[in-house]
Amino acid sequence: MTASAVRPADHRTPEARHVPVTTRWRWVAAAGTATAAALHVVAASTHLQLQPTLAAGFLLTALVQLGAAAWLVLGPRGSGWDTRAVGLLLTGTVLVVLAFVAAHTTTWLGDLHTAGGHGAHATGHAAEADGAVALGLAALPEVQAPDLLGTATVAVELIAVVGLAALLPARTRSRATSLLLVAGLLVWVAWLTGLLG
Amino acid sequence: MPSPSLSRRDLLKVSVLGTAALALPWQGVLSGKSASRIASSKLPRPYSVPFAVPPVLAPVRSDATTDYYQLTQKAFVGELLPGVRTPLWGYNGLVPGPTIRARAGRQTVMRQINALPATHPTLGYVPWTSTHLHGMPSKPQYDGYAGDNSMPGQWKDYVYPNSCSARTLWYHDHGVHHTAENVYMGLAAQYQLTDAIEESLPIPHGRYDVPLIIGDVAFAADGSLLWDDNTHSGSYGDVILVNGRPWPTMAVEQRRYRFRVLNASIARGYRLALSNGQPFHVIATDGGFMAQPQQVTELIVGMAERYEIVVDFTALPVGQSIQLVNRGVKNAVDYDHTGKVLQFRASGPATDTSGNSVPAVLTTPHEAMTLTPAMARATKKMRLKRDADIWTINGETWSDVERSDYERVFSHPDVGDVELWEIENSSGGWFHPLHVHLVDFQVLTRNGRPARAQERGPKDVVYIGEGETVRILMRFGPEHGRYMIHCHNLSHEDHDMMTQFQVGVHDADCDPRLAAPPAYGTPPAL
Repeated sequence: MTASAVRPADHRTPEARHVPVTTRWRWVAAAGTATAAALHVVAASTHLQLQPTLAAGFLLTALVQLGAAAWLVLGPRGSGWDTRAVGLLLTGTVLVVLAFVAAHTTTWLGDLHTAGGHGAHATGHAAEADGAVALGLAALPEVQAPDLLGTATVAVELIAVVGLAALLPARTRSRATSLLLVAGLLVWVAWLTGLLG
Repeated sequence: MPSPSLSRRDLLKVSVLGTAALALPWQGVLSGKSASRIASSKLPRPYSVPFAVPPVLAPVRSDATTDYYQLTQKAFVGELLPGVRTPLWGYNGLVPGPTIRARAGRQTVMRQINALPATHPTLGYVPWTSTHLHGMPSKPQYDGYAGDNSMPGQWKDYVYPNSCSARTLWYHDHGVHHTAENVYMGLAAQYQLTDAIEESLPIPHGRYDVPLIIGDVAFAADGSLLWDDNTHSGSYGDVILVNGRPWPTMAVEQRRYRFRVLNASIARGYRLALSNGQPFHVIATDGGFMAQPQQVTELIVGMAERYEIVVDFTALPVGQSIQLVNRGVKNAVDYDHTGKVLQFRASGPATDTSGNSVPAVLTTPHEAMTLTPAMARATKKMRLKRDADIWTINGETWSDVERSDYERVFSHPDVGDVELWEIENSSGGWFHPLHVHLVDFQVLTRNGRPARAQERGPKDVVYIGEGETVRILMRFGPEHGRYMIHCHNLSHEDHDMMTQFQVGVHDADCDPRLAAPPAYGTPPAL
């Protein structure tokens, strides 16, 4: 008995076979990216006063993610995906995720987190610090503890990564997920060897 | 283009990165048994550092009625950990600051000079200060009122009447919105008031009367203090300091010692006990001696609370040690060594056996302990609550007091009035050590039951535990004017769990901000 003999007959047209699956992964990628954009806007607002550079970075990321989400929803349908554009989006999203890991396991991005406070008048506001601050003679970056907002953002970005990977052609997808596997293994190795705290 | 899809294998590949991205940033938080970032080799082994006490400050001058002291609040680089340089702020360049010993009936004038930097080097705020002598019924303008701030470069002479009974007090910074950071940097010290009754008691005196200023800090990689107030919940360190020394060992003779325990931590409460389970006596609370000593095996100490305890080392064999340990309180963030506080090692027989007892009756009951609910002219309810990232008292904060131009008050008794306050903390997530300025009060009930044995003396801070309701009873006076009420978790106080009450009239002579403002320039000789 051949395999084709037991497979149920698929009477759908090629478009009908493609479109629902495409739509599903398109929406997964778009929803993940758009939610990440919204969460980055929230993060920007909470960091605006004390870490304006970081807030600007969050806003820029949010804008790019918003544009990407719009492109995923409104862009080409069916088999018309631009593999390079999807790959670029996938790479960008993974870099944002890696930046989060670096920010919360090393001091490499510590300057963005430099805490500050103010007290211009006699009953001014309390000093605010985003995480741990060394009370030395000068500001030194410290590893910042993560928060739920950041973790939620990374979680939806990982969903977007899955959605974007699914939109790639089979061979490219396999290569892309293999690269993600290597990236993931490198992160774990970096942690095990103490490079990441 | 083939149909988009993702195989199980693809998902597994992505999950390797996904789990790393989600888990690794949290591993330091979740597995953390230390808060410090400094190399563990730079932290001393617990009980390896010798014990020390802060020096006693001599007055710069005394006359028939008054002793004059001068203290300069300044930045310096000190050594809390052996061989590690730590930038600190201290009174006269000491952490903790020097102890002041005063006698009831003689007035103290304490000149405070703010020589701190124009801005905090890393947090960036202007380090204005306002010194509070905690436990003294000072006039409002000398009470460290929030808003009575001395800016860097200013000085102020604080006048303390020493009109109360003998007790252990402490002076610390109370600068509005920056108290936690300023105290964490080192602006805290003991002030011991004696009187004829205290001197006549056969309890340990002199070198057997020892301050224990307990705090907790964390260290950054470069040896500086590490500050993290956990989104205003409070700062928890992993290194326990006793009189500025990490987990020290104290040599004791085989006799009784009196310890003046002060919890100077920002947010950490302690449940103190001796490692061998030996009982000890509580002889005094915040407001001075209890009528009768209370024997306990554990002592819960919230921030700013003071307890005088007597520990008997008579039976401790020479060369043997016992430890003062911290069994922890609910919701404190504990680390590997926050259960250790101080070690006692018997050095030999007593070289002096005077003052080596704990009499069954110490003194007549403090006036606050004679009050009854029937004497209360008013009963007030106070709800302590977190509202978003702000801490509130009855839904209000110190900002509401400021917006009212300092007019808004929680209560307005006359001098001599008695009030009963019912304080409720419905949260299960944190406790609040509530401090009422000016007065000594009686802890009437805790959750409808009598106060703990350790609380059967006059208090000015009361530990309001998770889900607890505590009733306190107090008579207002002897001074009149406006005084603060606040949580002594200093991060809560700074964010903004503080209100005030007014006793009698508020007039120009007792305006806490205007009656005795700080001044710039070179102060005159004391």
